[in-house]
Amino acid sequence: MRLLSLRIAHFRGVDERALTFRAQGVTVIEGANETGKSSLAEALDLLLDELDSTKKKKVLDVQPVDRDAGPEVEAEIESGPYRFTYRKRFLRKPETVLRVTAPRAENLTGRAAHERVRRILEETMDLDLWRALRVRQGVGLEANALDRAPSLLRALDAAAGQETAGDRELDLFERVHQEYLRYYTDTGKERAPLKEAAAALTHAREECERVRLELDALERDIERSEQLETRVTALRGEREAGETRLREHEGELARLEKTQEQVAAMRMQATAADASVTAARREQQLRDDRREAAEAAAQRLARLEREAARDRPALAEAEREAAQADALLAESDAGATAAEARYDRAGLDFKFRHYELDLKKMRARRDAVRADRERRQTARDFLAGTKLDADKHAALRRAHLELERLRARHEAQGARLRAEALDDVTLRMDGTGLPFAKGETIDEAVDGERTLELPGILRVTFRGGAGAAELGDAVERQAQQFTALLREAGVASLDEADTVLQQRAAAELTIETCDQQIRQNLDDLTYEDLVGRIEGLETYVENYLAERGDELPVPADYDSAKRANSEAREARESAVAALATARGRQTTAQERLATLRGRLNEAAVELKVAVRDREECERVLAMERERRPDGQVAQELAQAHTKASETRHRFEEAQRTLAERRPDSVRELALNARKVADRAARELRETENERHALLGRLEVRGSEGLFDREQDAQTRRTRAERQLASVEARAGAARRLYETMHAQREEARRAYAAPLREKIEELGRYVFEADFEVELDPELRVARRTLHGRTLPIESLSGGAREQIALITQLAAALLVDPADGVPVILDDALGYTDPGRLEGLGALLSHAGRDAQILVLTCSPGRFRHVGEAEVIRL
Amino acid sequence: MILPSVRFLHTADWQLGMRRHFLGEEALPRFQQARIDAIRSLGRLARAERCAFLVVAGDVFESNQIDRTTLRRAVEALREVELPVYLLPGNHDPLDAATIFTAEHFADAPNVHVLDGIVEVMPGVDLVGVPWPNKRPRRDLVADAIRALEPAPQRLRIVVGHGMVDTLSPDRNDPARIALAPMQQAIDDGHVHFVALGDRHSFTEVAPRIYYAGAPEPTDYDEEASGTALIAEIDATRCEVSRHDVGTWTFRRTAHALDSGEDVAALADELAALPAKERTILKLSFEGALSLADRARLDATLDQARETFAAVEIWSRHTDLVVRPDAADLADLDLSGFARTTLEALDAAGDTEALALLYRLARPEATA
Repeated sequence: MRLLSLRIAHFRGVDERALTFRAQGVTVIEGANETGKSSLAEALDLLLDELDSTKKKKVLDVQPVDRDAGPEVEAEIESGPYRFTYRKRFLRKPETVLRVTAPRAENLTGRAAHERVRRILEETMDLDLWRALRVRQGVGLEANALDRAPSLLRALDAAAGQETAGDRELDLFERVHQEYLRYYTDTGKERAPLKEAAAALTHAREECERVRLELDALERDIERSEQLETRVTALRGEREAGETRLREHEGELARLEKTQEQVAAMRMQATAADASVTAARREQQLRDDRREAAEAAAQRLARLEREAARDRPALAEAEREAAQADALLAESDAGATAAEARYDRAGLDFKFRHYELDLKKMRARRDAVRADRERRQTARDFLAGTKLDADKHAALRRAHLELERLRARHEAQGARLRAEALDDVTLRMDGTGLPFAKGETIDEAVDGERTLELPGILRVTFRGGAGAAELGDAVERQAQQFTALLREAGVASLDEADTVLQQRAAAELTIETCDQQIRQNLDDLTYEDLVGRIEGLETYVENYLAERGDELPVPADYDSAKRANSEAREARESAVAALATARGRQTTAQERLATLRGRLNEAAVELKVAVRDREECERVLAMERERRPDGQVAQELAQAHTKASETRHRFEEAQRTLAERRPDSVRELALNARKVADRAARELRETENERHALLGRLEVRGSEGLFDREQDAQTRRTRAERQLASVEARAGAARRLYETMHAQREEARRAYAAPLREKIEELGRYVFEADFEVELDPELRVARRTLHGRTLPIESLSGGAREQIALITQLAAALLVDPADGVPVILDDALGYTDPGRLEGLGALLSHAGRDAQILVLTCSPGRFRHVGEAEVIRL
Repeated sequence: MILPSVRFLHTADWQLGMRRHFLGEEALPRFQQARIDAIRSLGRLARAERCAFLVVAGDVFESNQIDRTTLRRAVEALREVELPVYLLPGNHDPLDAATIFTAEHFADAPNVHVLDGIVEVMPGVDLVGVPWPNKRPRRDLVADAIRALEPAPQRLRIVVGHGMVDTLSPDRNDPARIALAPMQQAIDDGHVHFVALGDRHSFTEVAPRIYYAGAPEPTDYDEEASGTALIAEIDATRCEVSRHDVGTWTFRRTAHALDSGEDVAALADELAALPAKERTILKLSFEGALSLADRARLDATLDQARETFAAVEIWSRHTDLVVRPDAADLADLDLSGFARTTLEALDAAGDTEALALLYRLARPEATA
């Protein structure tokens, strides 16, 4: 198809606009926004797709708001052998007019015109391709899948050297797919027909099994019924036999019971005879017992009397011993008390002599302390009266040393006056007459000025220099200072200072020595404590002697007191030990005495009882012998023995005879026979009951038509099996067909996608670099792009790159199809994201594509398509 | 004294209540009703042939547990027979604790009697009924019954038994097989004058005076001579037997070689020519190779047959039919591209079913 011209009127904001396009090559339509550029593409769609009578929103949207006129579109189109002008007016006075000029003239209006154009287009162009080859700004590749466009597929097939798969094949594939979807989902899961058939079969099988179980139960009941019948017959026989046996055993049992009664009577006779024997024996025994008791009482009495005679001397001896032990104990007790008193006094004496000694020592310590305290006080008084100390002494020494040093310098450096009398002479010195004998010398330092005059003859004046004068002053000052220090220290000279310092050191030593001795003598006491103690001891010592009394003298000294104390302690211990021994002996004697006395008392009581016993026994024995002599008692016992022996023998004979007839066994047999008969009767009753119940149940079961239910269930199962097999066969066929066809189609696609990919890469190199490559997905969309050796998914590319690849893809598709099948490529405000650097390449690409296709470019940016060399430009 | 003569109808294996799973919901009731109707047909035949009574040698019912509606219908049909009818319990309907042969069930048909031992049906004529006491008797009941017979030179005796005669049964381990020799001996000795047997559904003369009557309506494909009844007239010296075809249904099993459209057409013609289609049950097996188009035609033929016949079964165990697209198929389909390669791939894999589906989807108009 080629769009030759397009005119719109009353279309959105556009009153009227008519455009003519190049049938081949690029036409660029430039216009600012709102100039109706996009309306052109929109208008063409409305013209081709919508009836003039339509009231669809997309038509209502294009009606101008300010005019009461219907939107109008007219196009001149060339498609295959056809060339026609086609016009529609919508909404107001709707109208469709078609004028076909080739291959032969036709004029149609209204619905007929619309239908005719539809037919022409369907016959001559590829509507899918037409829609696919539209690029609008911001709409990427994904919106325009190409794989449904038959023209493109034909072209691709041809390019791949394959047979064409056309609409029929695509429709067939769709039907195959639909058939597959009847049984499976696209993810391969089973759908209702398969699931339901399988479920129906499961259900039918379960039903079969249920009925089968019921029938099995019925069969078992029938078999059971037969068994029960057999059992009833057997049980009747058993019952009969049991009753017969019972009658026999019961007859024998009755006879036996009579015999048993007789035996029982004999047993009673034997028992009575035994009782007589027992009575006679008891009589004999009693008589024997009486006799023995009388003898025993006599013997016991004799024994007791012997024992009493033996114990009496022992008691007297024991009493004597006890008295001796008491006396010894009293004596030991007195000894111990006296020893205790002696020991107490010896202890007190020892303490007295000890305190006395302490008192003497403490008095000595007190006197030493007192002397030391006085010496220390004298030394302290000396120190308090002395001004000189070690510091002052040192200062004196330093001042003296300095004075000596200054004098020496003065003498060495100052002028000296030295004269020697050669003869006796009187001189005048410094105005004072001075006798000067022969051989005398004068040697003096000269400070300031001195005069030596031989009166009348000569006056010599010596004058020292300035330095000598100053030194002389310094000596003077130092001498004054030294004198001041001596005064301050309270001494007249340095030698005295040395002596005083030595005395001071001696006084300090004395103080220290006294302190130490006082501390030693006081030990841990204060002086007052010491004095207090001395007073306490003095009081004790005076009082002790006054209070002690003097029956015995106090030991002479500490050592004898100590010795006396030790001796008294040993004497006391001996006395205490003797006392313990005496006490033990006394206790033993008392115990022995008590024992002997108790025994004698008891023996006396026993003796009394024994006397009474013997008397009583003898009295009773005599009385009984009088009643029945001993001989008679013995005779009666012998007779009873004989009778009992005979009676028991008869009884045992009868009992043995009875046992031989085994009465227990007969009784058991009879009992058992009754049980057998009862059990057989009971079992018979139960079996008959069970059989009747079973027959009743069978009758009910029989009327339930179980056979028919089983047959019904089996029929349903068979049908379900067949149904499932049939559905599975159909589903399997559908699946295999679909899978095979799908695989074949994929393979074909892979083959024919190659030419498209190659075309895209060829065109792409106008825009991108020479290594530009792409990969296509099954929908023939670009999935990945490779550039500079890097492969990226299309989604991660920039908007500009994606837009360019979309455009290249559409152009590649347009160029691949047969020119006879071709449709215009309409680019609506495309390449808005493309940078200027690429626009040049795209211009060349569009120029190139324009040689084989009609390309209409709608743009609001005139500059964007400046690089399309062979374009015709229309400015709105 | 001369023994009496008697004329009676011998039948067996009515199998009332029988079902066949391959019958559809429409055909099954008709199939079952045909068995009830057969009772009336036999009654009419017996009356027309001046029979004294009818004897049914076992398997009167398919089961003791059949639906009571079937039982009541059968009793009604039996009542209409008017002549005395002697029913023998067989292996399908044994005289066990759940037996269907109770007095109350047959109260409405006083002409019906259940055979259990010896019964005098006419002066001097005894039926010796040998019913199955349960489903597994484990012994030759007929031999036992014959052995127990007292010599009775003045009576005509007809033994009625059920089971397979040992000379016909391949199962040597079956203890319930009926030994032929004692029967023949009894006949030779003049103790027994006829043995009326049931169990084998085809009319069979086992030996002189020993017969299977056959089932009055067929029950399966491998019955050679079912749909029959037997009328016997006997006395001490004579035994005249006639076979009567009374069946109305047909079981038909055929094999077909299909290698061309012509073969399919011949099959269609053959089926079209069959009579009484609504009472005919088919089991077909095929061998050969067909084109896609012929296979579609075969499917259409079978679909049509299913509408007219009582049932059409494909005997898959014996069917080996491949589908090979031929040039005409390919021309018909006119497929190209991936569709054509799909066809070739399926053909190479021998996937008959997928090919047929492809054919149907590609040419909906051809298979519609």
